[in-house]
Amino acid sequence: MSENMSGMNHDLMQAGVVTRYELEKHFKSKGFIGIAAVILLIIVLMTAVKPLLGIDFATDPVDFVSDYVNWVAIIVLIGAVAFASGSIVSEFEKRTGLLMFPQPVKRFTYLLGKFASTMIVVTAALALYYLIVAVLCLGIVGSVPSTMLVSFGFAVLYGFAVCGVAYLLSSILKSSTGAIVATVLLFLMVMPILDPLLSMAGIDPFFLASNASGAIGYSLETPYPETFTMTMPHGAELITYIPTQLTAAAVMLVYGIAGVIGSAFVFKKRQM
Amino acid sequence: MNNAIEIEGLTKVFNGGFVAVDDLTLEVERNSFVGFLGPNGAGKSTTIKMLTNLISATSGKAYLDGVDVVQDPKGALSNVGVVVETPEFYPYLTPNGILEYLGKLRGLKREEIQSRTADVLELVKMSEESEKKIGEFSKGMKQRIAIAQALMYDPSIVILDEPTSGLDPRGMVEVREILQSLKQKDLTVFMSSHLLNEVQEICDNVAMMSRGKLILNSSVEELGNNATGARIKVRTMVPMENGGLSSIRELDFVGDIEPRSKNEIIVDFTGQNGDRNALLRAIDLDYRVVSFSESGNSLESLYLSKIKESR
Repeated sequence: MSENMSGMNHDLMQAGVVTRYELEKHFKSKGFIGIAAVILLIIVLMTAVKPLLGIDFATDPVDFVSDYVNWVAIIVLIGAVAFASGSIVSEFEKRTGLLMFPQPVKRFTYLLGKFASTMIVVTAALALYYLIVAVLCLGIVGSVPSTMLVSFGFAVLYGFAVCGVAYLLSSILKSSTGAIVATVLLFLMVMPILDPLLSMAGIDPFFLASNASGAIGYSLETPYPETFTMTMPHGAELITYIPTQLTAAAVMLVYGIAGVIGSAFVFKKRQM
Repeated sequence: MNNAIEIEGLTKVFNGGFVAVDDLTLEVERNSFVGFLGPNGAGKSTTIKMLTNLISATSGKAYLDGVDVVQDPKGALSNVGVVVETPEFYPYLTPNGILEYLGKLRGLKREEIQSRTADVLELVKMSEESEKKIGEFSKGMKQRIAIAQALMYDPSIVILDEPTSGLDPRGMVEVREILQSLKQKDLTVFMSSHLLNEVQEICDNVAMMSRGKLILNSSVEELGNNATGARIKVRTMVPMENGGLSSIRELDFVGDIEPRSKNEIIVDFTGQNGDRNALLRAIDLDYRVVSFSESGNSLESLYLSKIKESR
């Protein structure tokens, strides 16, 4: 059977099997239809409604793409909710764990396989979105900014960060709904509220994933923008903290890695 | 280590201090069919969950085929088939699909998976449903698929946790038939149940738990030989007064009397056939016996008395 396979190779083989079947689950899920519908909706609204309202498209390719890239964080969040939030907790909630966990497979291997499948689906969704935007930009503006690829790289890194945290919440919480709500609240409310408040207090919010996600849009610009200060009409100064690409990438990696490691620790200890 | 399963001082204390399994030590011989018996809450499922990596032990050790399940769960479970309660399946998969998935996880080759899938689905009489989505299956059908997956890898040990629990009578009979057929295989089966007749019908040995402790470990045959009593249900025409029953309680072959209603009692009977006649005549004299039947066999009496003793 597997006598000639070393322990780690066998674990990786098993993780690959888990990834393959999790992918099948994702592609057959309502979440996949949901994220495809969201991408289609954004594209249709952004592309078809403007001419109907008499609004001209941007003539600069960076400006054109920026309008669409503003929605990437939402697509990532929907991807995390659809393919990450329920991933661990559902094995306990739906009792599929009674079948899977007594198999001779380490829980970390399950986690690795599941997380890989989540990242593949989220990356595929982002790639599809960027591809459609690139085609539209080429058709309407006539060229595509080369920086789009860097922006896509940051979008995938942000996906890694959000999905890592979603996996951690999925390992800790007792219901899929709870994990979904916690993920949405964290990335759609808590961080976006803290980000400007910290800026107003003069604290650089570089450690917030929401702040780091700014690199997805900023990366389109050449040269890459820097932190700047605005003087408000009443004389107060407001600093807009722009993370460097290195800082943004590091922060996103820390969120993702910490999320996955934390998830692995909790998942291993969790009792069925 | 010659035994298929060895448990040494296994203990599980849940948060809040509840001791579900208390210093359990048990050995299960190779190629034996052991019934793990006890009332609800005795600690059977907790023990099985510790053996199968579903929950962690507070202390103690458990070996499957000589491998410590606490230290190396992957290694310990590599040659073990498991069915815990009625597990759920991914509803989008078919029986062929889930068996292929689990077969691949075990590193089986495609040809092996195909031939073994056909064999085990035939054994559990699910061949015709092999391409239907499991999400559409009844609980009994899912349980048969669960047994199929446990047998697919040709394991040396099969661990079953209340495999007929929650099934309708037909489903119970079907699953028991499958379990009976396992006796012809070169297997060690460790099966928990709270149903005495099930254990008596299928198993060779019995390990009995109550309140987290092992209270009995014996062969079914030996138990049957030691258990001489029976539980007899008697219905009468005249209502029975508690005080009036005292004369019946005094009979040598009568243990406890459990009133069920004014006209019905259950007698723990410990005598021989002739004594049965004397018992019925004694009751008939004052209360006019309408009907009588054995409400449980001798093993059940022993089981109940052991449970009572442990409390």
